[in-house]
Amino acid sequence: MRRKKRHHDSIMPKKRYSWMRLGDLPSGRKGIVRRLRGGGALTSRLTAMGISLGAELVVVQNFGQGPIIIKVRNTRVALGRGEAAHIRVEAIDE
Amino acid sequence: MNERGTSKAAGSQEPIMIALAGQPNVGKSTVLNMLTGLRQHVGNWPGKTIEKKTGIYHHNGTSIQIVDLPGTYSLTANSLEERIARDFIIKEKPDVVVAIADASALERNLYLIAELLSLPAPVVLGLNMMDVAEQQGMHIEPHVLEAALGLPVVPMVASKNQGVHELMDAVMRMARNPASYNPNRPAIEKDQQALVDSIQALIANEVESPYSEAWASTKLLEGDQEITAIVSDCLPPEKWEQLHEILMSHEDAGLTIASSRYQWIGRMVRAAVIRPGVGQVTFTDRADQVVTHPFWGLLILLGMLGSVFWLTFTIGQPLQEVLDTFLVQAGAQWVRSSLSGAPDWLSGLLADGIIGGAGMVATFLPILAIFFAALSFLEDIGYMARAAFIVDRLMHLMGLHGKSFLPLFLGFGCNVPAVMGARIIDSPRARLLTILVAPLVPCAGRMAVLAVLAPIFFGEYATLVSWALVGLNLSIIVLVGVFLHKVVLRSERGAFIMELPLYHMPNFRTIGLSIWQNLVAFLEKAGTIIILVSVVIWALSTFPHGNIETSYLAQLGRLLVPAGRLMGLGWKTMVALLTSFIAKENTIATLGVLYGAGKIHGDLSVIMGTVLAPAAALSFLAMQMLFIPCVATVAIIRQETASWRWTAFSVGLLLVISFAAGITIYQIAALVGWGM
Repeated sequence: MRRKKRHHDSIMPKKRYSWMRLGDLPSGRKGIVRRLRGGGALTSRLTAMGISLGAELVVVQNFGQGPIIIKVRNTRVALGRGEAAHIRVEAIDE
Repeated sequence: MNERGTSKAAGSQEPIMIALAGQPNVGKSTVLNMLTGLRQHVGNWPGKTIEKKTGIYHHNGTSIQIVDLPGTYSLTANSLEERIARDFIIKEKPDVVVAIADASALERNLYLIAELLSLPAPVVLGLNMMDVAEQQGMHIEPHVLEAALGLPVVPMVASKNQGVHELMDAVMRMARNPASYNPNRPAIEKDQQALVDSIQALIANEVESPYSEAWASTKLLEGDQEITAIVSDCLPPEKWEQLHEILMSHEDAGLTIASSRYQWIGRMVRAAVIRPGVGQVTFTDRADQVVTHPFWGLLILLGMLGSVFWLTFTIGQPLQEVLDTFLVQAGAQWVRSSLSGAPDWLSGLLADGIIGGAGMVATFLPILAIFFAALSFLEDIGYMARAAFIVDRLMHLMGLHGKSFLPLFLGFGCNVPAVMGARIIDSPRARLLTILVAPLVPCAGRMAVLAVLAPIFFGEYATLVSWALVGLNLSIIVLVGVFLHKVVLRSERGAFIMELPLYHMPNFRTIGLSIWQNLVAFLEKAGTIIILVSVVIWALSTFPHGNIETSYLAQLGRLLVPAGRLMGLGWKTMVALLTSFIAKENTIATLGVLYGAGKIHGDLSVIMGTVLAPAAALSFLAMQMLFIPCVATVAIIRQETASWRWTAFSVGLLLVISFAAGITIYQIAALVGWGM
């Protein structure tokens, strides 16, 4: 069930599904963490580093490929693109 | 806890034991260094290869034993470090847990505190890096935070030794009066509480102490692997089925628990953080624009590494030569002349065996000191994480973390610091993998042999051959890395999540201590093995007749002739390879002795150039580049892996690789017509 929904994330027009992969958020943009996937071990590491549901983050570096850098709870965190794909964020318009 | 309270009444001088906890990069080791300085004992956690530092500190007449726990972001057993940290608190029951937090990232740091509060040891919070927080425009009221948390909070700037004494005062007060400890523990949300209760009812009276049932229930919901394994062992099957069902239908419970912890943290800091300091562009932000840039960052990294090598070659190598001349050679000379009446074997044993071995240990020290100074300097100022970030993509292939790059790169100077430098890698598997491929990095010793022999064999093509052989080593590193990663270790490459700490001024006390501790570790453990092996090899090359050509070593070399024939090599070259086990540079000296050349240059080149056909010479050089690590490297592999099995594996692996490469190269080259 859930998996199906995730599959349609990118094409669903409804606003509720406008959450995007963290890796697709360009440098300088802000977002709020809305969903974490990738299994218990990964999500527990992410949350312990401050990337929890509802946390506000800003993308510091994202060159469209390779690892990205974000700033969350005043901490700079480097993430592999694979790890970033498990984080869905709601982009905040400035 | 109660018995503790009564046994350590106010005014008693009984020693106490405290654990130092905290997330990585919060200045925890600075606090330990300030308190204990050189009075530290560095060892390993029992059965683990993770460093354990302990120290004694005397506070107003009371002796305090400080145990430094591994830096961890949380206490859920995702890593060995987290398991060690929480097991120590639960099982060893320290009198006080001192948690160090980075004031400038208070919310994230309090996450660990939230977890610590559910363990049965009183917590004192050291709020470190208050100056950094101020610089970023934050203002924090420690007293307000103290009132909210219900535990002592001490503001600190550990790097300037501010607040460290006050922290220990608070620790003493807590140790003397643990009954006063009544913190505001993070509450679980109502619907979560029902869930925790139902789990707790299932595991009631089934779980082994020392874990409390409430704590174990929360950890089960968080998907903690260790606790899940323990509970599944203890629980009768039908209850485990029930429990498993609950856990499966609440897979997201871990996220909810984490969120409720952050909500609790939000309430704790709301009043205490007066100015949050948003939008400040810090030095770190500006520097990282360049330092973590894919192109400029790589240039900076290469520049840094270049400087380390420049330092090594301008300071380390001359120093090494001075030590060799005035300590080792002079010492050996002195022994020989003062023992002129004694039998040859005795002066030989002392001069060549023992002083030779001890001298080699000593001559390693300058180079190691420079490498460790550079490593800990880069780590201390916050650069290391950036270097790892930059090269992560390259290392990805071998299942290695970016942090493996630096130790491996150091291997070009000497494999010994490369193996020791692998300590900076967090994941035990990745560390082992790095240690296993490190001896394949061509070190300065092997490069020196190559530099002397390649021109003798290949004349004007020497440079080309040298580059090809270095390239061969590097490709084999990648192949072996992939092979070990995929087949032997089957290591899951750890998720790449890494904090990039703030840059800060180097703390020379920390750096100095790190150099000292690493050198002492090398001398204590590797040093003794090196001297022993040096004596053994000396004996093998001397007995029974005091002549290397008829020695046991030569006999061993002759035993290897059948294998050598596959590579076109005779016993003399095989013996030269064997002696490179002591030190890679020995190859040249041995060849000089065996081919009867007094001097390395001149005579040797004339003789050697005619003895070996190009195919055999090429395979000999390849063997030399890939042969088993030198004794110092083997000793350090044993020290760092704490396992003879992995040490033997490493030696065996290189033995197989070098013979395979040697044979293949000779056969192909002979086929192409480079043979005799």
